[in-house]
Amino acid sequence: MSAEARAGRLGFFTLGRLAWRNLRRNRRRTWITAVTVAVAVLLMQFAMALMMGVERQSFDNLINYQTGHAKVFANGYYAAREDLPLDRGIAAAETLQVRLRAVPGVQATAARLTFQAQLSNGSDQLPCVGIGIDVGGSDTDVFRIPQAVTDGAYLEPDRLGMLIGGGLAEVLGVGLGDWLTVLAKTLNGAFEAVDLEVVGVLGTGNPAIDRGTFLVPLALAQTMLAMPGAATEIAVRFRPAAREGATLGRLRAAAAESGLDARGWREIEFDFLALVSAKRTGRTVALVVFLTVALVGVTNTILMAAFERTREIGMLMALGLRGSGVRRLFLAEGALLGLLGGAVGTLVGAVLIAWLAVSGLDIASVYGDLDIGYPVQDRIYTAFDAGALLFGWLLAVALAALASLYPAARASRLDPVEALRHV
Amino acid sequence: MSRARSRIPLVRLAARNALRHTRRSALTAVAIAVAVTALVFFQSYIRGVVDDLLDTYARTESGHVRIRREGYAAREHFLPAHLNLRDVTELVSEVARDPEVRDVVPRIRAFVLVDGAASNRPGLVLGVDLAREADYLRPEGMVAAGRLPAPDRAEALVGERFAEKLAVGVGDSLTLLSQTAYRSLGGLRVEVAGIARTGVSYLDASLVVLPLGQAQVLLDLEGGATELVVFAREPEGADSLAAAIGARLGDRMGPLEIRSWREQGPLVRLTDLIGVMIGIVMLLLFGMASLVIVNTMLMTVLERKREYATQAALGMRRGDLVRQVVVEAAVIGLAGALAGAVAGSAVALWLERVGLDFTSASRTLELPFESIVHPDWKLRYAVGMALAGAAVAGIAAVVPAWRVARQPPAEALRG
Amino acid sequence: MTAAARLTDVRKTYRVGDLEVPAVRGVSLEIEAGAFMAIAGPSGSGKTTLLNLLGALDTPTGGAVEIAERPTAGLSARELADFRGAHLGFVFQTFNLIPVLTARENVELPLQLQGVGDRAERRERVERVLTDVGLADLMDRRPTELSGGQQQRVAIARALVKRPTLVLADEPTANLDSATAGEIMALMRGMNERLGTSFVFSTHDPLVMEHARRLVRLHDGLVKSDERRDGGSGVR
Repeated sequence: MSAEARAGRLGFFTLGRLAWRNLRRNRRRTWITAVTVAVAVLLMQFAMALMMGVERQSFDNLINYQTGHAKVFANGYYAAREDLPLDRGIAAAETLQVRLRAVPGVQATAARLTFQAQLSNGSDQLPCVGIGIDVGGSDTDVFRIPQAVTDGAYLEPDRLGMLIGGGLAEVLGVGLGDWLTVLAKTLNGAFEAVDLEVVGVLGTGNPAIDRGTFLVPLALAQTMLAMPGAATEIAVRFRPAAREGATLGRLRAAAAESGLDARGWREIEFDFLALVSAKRTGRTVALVVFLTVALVGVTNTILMAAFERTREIGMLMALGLRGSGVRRLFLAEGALLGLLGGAVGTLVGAVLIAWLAVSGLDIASVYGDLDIGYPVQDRIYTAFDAGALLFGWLLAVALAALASLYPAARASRLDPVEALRHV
Repeated sequence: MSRARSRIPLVRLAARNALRHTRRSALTAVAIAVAVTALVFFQSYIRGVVDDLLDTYARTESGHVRIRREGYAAREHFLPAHLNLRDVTELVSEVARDPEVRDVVPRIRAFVLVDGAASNRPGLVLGVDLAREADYLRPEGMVAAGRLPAPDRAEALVGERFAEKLAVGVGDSLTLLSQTAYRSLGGLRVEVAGIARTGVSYLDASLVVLPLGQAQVLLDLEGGATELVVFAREPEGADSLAAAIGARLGDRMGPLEIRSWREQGPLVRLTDLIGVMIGIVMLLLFGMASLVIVNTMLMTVLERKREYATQAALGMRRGDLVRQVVVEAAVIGLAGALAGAVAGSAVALWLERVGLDFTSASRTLELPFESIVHPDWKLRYAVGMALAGAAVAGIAAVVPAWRVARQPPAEALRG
Repeated sequence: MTAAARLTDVRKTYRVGDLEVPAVRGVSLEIEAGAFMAIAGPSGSGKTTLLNLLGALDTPTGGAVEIAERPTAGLSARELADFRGAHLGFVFQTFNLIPVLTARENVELPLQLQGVGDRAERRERVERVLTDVGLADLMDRRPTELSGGQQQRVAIARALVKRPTLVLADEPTANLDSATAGEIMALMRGMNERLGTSFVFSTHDPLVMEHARRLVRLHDGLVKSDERRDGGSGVR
C-alpha cells in the first residue's frame, strides 16, 4: 500500500489496540453491552445446536430404521403407497438387487415386503403394518434394526417369530414369549392367519415404527401373502463417502432401466421435512429478534462512545486522521464488542451443548407420548459442531460491526473545528 | 417532616430531557420496541395456536369431562364397543342436572372396515346426534360437498381423503363392518350423503360420520353409546366438575370412568406450560432490553452530574432525583413500547386474517391441529406489553439513578 | 440581631486515597444579616470548601455550622436538602441552569420544591423577580438562547425567588466579560440593599472584592484577615 493510501488511517493492529483500549475506558458500559450480545449469541448457538441435534437424530432414525437412503418401487406403487398395495409389488426382487448394487455409490440393498395386517392377542385386534425383512440376508446391511431391539433378540432366519414395536406390544399387552395372530389379506384377496411368537421388542424412538409396526422374516411374509420371491420395495443404503444427490440420480437411472421407480428419503419423508422446515423458520425468527435487541445495544453504545469523545475525535482529525480512519476506529470497537460478547456466549454455549450432547435432554417427562412430529421420543441430544460454533461467533463479530456502521459513519463526518469546540 | 409539596414538573422534565439526545433516546426506545413487538406477536400467535388446539380437542375428542364405561380408557386403542354405556338418555338427563354443565352429548366411536367401490380400508366411525352437535362437533361446517346425513336414514358423511381412496362420491354406497357390542361381527350399508373436510389431516383420511341411531344399529347398541361428552360452563373448573358428576351418579349407573380433560392425556397439561414459556421469553427479551436502558441512563446521568447537583443545592431531595431519572427512562420505554405494541399488533392482525399455512407440516401430526393457523390478537396483549415495556425501562434506570443521587452535591459542583 | 450564618471552629478534611488533605483548618466567622461579603484567597486556600459548608452542601469534619440560628449538624441528606431549599440560594460560576427548562421554569423550580402556594401565586412571584433582574422579555427563553450575562441573571432570580436567608455565589463573574460582570455585581448589590438578603462570594476577581463591604482573606484553610469597608465601587 502506498504511503498516500495509508495516510490518514491507522494500521490494522494499531486500530485493534486502540479500539480495545477505548473499550476499556468505560469498562462497565463495555461489559453491559457485551453481556447483551453474549445472551443473544448463547441463545443462537444453543438453538442451532439443539435443532441440528434433533434433526440429525431424526434423519438418522429415519434412515436407519425406516427408509434407508432411498427406496426403489415398482411403477405406480409410490402414488398409492398409503394403501400398501400388494399388487404393485416387485417380482424377482433378488435379480434386480444385483443390478442396483452395481450402481456407484450404493453400498447395500435389501428387499422388504410391507403389508397391512391385524394383530390379535386372542381378545383384541389392532390394525397395524407388517414388514417382511431379509433376515440372514442383507437387511442389516441397509438398516440397523438390531440396535433398536430393547428386549429379547433379533430375528433368526429359520425361526418363526416377530419383532414388535414397543408401543404396539404395550397396547396389546404382550411381552417376550407371548404369541400373536397375524391376520392379513394375501395378494389374491384371501385372508391368511399365522401365529407368531414375540422374540423381540423394538424401541426405535420413532412412534411410526414403535406404535404401529411389527417385523417378520421376509420368506415368511412372502409365503403368507402368496408372493414368492417378491417385495414391495428395495431399500438402498449409500456409501458414507458418496454424494447423496449424484448417487440418487444414478440410482434413478438404473431403476428406470428396469422399469422401476427410485425415490430418495427426502422425497419420501417430504411431510416430515416440511415440519422441520416450519420449525426452523420459527426458530430463526425468534433468534433474529434476540439478535436485533443485542445489536441495537451495540449501536447505542458506539453512538454514545462517539458522542463522548467528540472533542477527542476533533483532535485526532486535527492531527491528520481522516474521516475514513475515524469510521474504521468505531467499526473496530463495534466488532470488538461482538468478539467479546460472542466469545462469552459461544464459550458458555459450548459447555452447555457439549454436556447435552452427551447426556441428552429428557423430553419424555414433559411430552409423554404426545406426538410432537419428530421421530424422537425420549431423549434429544444437541449436536456439538465446532464449525457451527465458530461460525456463530464470527457472525456476531460481523453483525456487531454492521450495527456500528451508522454511528461510525456519523463520527467520520464530524467537522474537526466544531468537534474541538464541543463541550 | 412531611409537608405539602407541589408537583415538581417530573413528566415535563423527563420528556424534555429524553429529547435532548434524540438519536440516543430513539435507539434506546428501539430496543424496547423490538422486544414488545416480538412479545405481542408471540402471545397472539401462541394463544392462537393453543386456544385453537384446545378448542378443537375439546369439541371433537375430550370435551371438558368424558364419561365412559370403567376399563375403557385402558383399552382405548381398540375402541372396544363391548365396554359401553346403556340407557344413555337417562344418563344424559342425570348429568345435565348439574348447574355447571352446559351440555352433554352422547357419541359412539368404533373401528370399522369400510368396503368401497375399489378397495376396503380401516376407518373410524363417529356416531353423533347431528342436531345437538351444532356447537360442538359442528358437522354443518365440515361439509365440503353434498349434505349432512338425515338422522333416520342410513347415510354417512365421509372424510375427503378417505372418500378419494375409497373412490366414492356423493350418492355412492359403502358397507361398514365392525365388531359389535356383543363382540360379534356387525355390518351396515350406507349411502354417502356428503363429503367432509375437517381441516384435521388424520381425520379427513379416516372419518365416517353417522347419525347416532345408525351407529347404534351397526354396533347392536340400542339406546347406548360408547361415551358421553360433557361441556362445562367454566372449562377451568373441569376437574371439580368431574368429581361432582362422579359424586352425583355414584354407582347407580354402573361402573363408570369420569375424567376431566386434564386427566385424559398430556395435551392439556402441556398447554399449562405455555404461560411459563411466555414468561421465560419475556424475561430474556426484557432483560436484554433493560441492559440497553441501563447503559443509556448511566451515560446520561453521569453527563448531567453537575445539573443534578445543582438541583440538590436548590433543595431537590435524592428521591426526587431518582424519580426524575426513572421517569425519563420510563418515558423512553413507553415510547418504544407503544411503537412496538402497534407494530406487533399489526403483524398479528395481518396474519390473523391471512393465516399461516402449516398444511404440509402438520400432515404427519396426530394432533387435532388445524392446518391453517390464525394468531389470536387481543388488545390486552398490546396494552399489557406496552405497560410492561415502560415499567421495565423505569426499573432498569433505578440503579444508575441511585448512583447519581448518592453523590454529595458538593463534589459535583467543584470547579 | 440574628446572624445569617455562624461558623464556629469549622474544619474539613478530605481523604484522597491514603492521604488526608485538610482544606479548612479551624475557621470561625459570623455573617450578619444583610452582609455583602467576599471570601478571597489563592486556589487551594479552601474558599470553595468553606462555601460548600456554608451552603450545607457538605458537612464539616469538626466544628459547627449554623444558618439562620439553626445548626446543620446531624441532619440527614433529605433534611439538608429541605433546609437548603428553605434558607439558601446559590449562584454558580457556570450558571448551572437546567437546559430543558425555560427561564421562568428554572426560577419556579425552587418554589415548587418548597411547596409554595398555588400556581398563580408562584407565577406572580417568578415574574416579579425576573422583572427585577431585568429579564421581563426573556422569560420564556431557554438557557441556550440566552447570553452568559442573561443566564447569570436568571440564576440570581432563581436564588432570590424564595427569599433565602443567605445567597452563596461561587466565582459568579468568572465566565463573564468585564462589562457584564460589573452589571451583575451591581444587580446583586442592589438586591442586597433592597431585600436585605445576605450575600457571600468566593472569588479571586478584584472587581468582586471591590464591591464587597466585607472582605475575608483565607490562606491555607485559615482566616488571614477580615476587613470591613464601606461599600460602593472604588472607595477604600
